Amino acid sequence: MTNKENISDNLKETAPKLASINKEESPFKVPDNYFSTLPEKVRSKTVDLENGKTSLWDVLLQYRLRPQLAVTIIIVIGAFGYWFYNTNYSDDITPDYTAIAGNISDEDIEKYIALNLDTFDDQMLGEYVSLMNGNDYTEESEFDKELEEYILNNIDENLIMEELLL
Amino acid sequence: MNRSETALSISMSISDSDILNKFRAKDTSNEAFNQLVLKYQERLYWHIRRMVIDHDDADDVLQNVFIKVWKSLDRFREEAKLYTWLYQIATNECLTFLKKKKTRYFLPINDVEAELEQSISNSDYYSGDEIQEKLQKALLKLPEKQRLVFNMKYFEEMKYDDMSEILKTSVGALKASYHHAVKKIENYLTEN
Repeated sequence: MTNKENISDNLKETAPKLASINKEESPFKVPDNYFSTLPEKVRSKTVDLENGKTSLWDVLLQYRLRPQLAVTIIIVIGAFGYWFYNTNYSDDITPDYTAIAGNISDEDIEKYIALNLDTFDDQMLGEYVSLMNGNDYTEESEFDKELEEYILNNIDENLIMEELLL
Repeated sequence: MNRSETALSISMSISDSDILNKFRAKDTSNEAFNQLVLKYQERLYWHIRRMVIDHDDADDVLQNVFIKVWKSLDRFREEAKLYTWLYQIATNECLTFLKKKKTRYFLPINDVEAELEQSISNSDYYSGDEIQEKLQKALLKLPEKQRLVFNMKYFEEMKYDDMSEILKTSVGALKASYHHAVKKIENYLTEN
């Protein structure tokens, strides 16, 4: 008894409804000439692969990776945007003060200081001068504080003003 | 007999080992691969089509199968039969395709089944009668691997030993799976 007959006989006993269906005639159809044109379609794909013509795009679409592709593109664009913003608009950009200072004459600097003296921060200037001289800048020593306190409490302000005016 | 029919007839008569030997020789590899496609395209197409239902999907999957075969045929060592190796690739591609279909649209199993049913009803390439349509709907109710087993035994009349090699499942388990599938389908056909 062949495999085919065996299957058919078994089905008649166990599943008569199923056995009554004509399975030789497939309900699925294919387009005309599909099988005569398929080898050529496959061949052209293998030729492309041989010649390295298949682009990454073809491969991604062929394997139906469209959603993954979209996510990847979004990530790449986002990363590029982040990089571009940080490169061009970052607050970290520090001007080259030495180069700028080289283009300004001493006369210009003096004029600028004379005009804007009131806007200079004494503390900042003190700090800068100390640093330029290689010293650590200390805001105000304990001795200075005590001295200031003594002057305020023990010296007559009017008397000093009078002496200064004389 | 036209040219393509002649080529098909030659390809059907050529043995698998002859195809493999020709493929290994550089100057005849393209011809050998063409013969392999001609020899197996219909069998693999129907195997895939019964699983993915839609013709365009089956066409895509089948072409992918042949591309994979072309890429790895030179590494095929004849420890398995060429025929079972091809079926293994086709089966894996079908299951991968169906899995992607679910994950791509985040579809639950019932919705995939409904979508495949729609493909039957709306397809230009389907012309079954009422009982055949009922059979297809009953098949779609089966789990994918059980559907594979049923298709391979019922439609393709494959031997259990070959099925075991392709699906990497014991013959006993395959027989049990087929038996359960037949029972479920018979119940569906009787009740609906």
